[in-house]
Amino acid sequence: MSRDTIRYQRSHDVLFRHVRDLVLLLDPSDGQVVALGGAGPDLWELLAHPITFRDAVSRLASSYAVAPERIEPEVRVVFDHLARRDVLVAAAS
Amino acid sequence: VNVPVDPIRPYGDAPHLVAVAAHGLAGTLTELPSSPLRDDEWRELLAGVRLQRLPGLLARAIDQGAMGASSRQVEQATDLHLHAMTTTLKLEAVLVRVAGLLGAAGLPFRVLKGAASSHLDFPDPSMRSFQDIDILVPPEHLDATVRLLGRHGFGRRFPAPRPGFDARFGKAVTLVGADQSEIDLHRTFALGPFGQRIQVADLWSRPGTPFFLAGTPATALDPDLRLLNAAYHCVLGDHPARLMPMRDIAQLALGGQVSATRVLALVAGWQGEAVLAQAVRATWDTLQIADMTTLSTWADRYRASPREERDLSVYLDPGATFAGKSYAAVRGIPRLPDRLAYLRALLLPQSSYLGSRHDGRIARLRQGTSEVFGKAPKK
Repeated sequence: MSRDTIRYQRSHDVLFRHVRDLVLLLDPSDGQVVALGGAGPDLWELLAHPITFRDAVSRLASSYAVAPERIEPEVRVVFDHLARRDVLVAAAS
Repeated sequence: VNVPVDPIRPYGDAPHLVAVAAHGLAGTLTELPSSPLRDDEWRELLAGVRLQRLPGLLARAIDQGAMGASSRQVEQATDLHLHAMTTTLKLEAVLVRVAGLLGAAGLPFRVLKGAASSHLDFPDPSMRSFQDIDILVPPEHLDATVRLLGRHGFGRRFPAPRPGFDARFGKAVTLVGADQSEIDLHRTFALGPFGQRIQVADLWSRPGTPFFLAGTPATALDPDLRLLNAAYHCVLGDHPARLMPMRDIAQLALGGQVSATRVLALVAGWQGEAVLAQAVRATWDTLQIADMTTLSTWADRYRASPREERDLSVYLDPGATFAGKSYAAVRGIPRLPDRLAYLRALLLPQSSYLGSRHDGRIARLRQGTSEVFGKAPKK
């Protein structure tokens, strides 16, 4: 199964807060606080429930009224960053 | 003793700060400015918000369009909120670790104050920041909890005055982690006579309110006890009373989960009606809450007895000290043998405690006798 089609969601182990148009996350791997800006907070909302990368891009593109390929690179950077740090986990199928 | 029991209005000249503290409360008559404040007014407000730990409420008031702000003011309010939330998240991570350790060891605990109320009593935890972690521990498990956390890097800030003192008479044991994070392990809510009169068994008589912190189970006090904790903190903690404990009281009292009947029964058993009445009155007066509730009506009518006024003065006098509250606590200990044991611990503590807090036994004895008998110590 391609990584883009695996359903991911937020790890329950992550502490976070909303601050204006940012989401602050406490990175469980090193205890550092990370701020998600741009499309990050909207992505974070979507990740409250299991969702694939492709579906997340599609939903965000729809809400911003832009083509998916236009936002995919930015979303992928955030998605990969979160997945690498165990902030995202693969959802049970 | 001539101490006013009715609260002085310490925030009478800070209407914007009070309006921020009350933002979002149903029934408040406070008004936020609709256009940006002048620079000097804004600086004063920002300093007050920082001191009173209200950045979440300020940011929310601006974000929701309830308060006018220039782009620079929005930026400064956001920076302050970011800073507060960063501290809060780091403290919460410590709490998660501690909760995991205590849970795994089967040691019961209740998360107190901001770390619990931010999740349970506010619509969004980002509204409520906090600067330390407070946990209630049953007296019979206090020593075991201190030992367990000690094995995981949390050392005592001060030794106990005498063995067994913490579990029998103490308010809290302060532990400090390697990263300097502080955890207060409470036996009860307050120092002094009102603290000693709290029936600690009442704090454990119900299961509490469960919640999750990053997937780790934790338990807070039930809403009635959370209200009483906030009230004791409001009146017996800092003087003048801070705005955040008032907001906690309002959030709970107006939130529909508190049983006024049970709250009044509990506080009567603790002989703490004067504390609750003053806390509720201060909250209603300061935050200008128009809604009348069972508790606010009761508080308006309550008149403190001379004995209650004398006990309140221990906390509210301008010269109130930690030592003064400690010695006045004798009045809240009902049995003579316990009073004697308490005084012995204060007047003749073990040497490790003396080394950490006082110059020596003679100075300690001198200070203690002066606090007990009301004489100024000789220099």
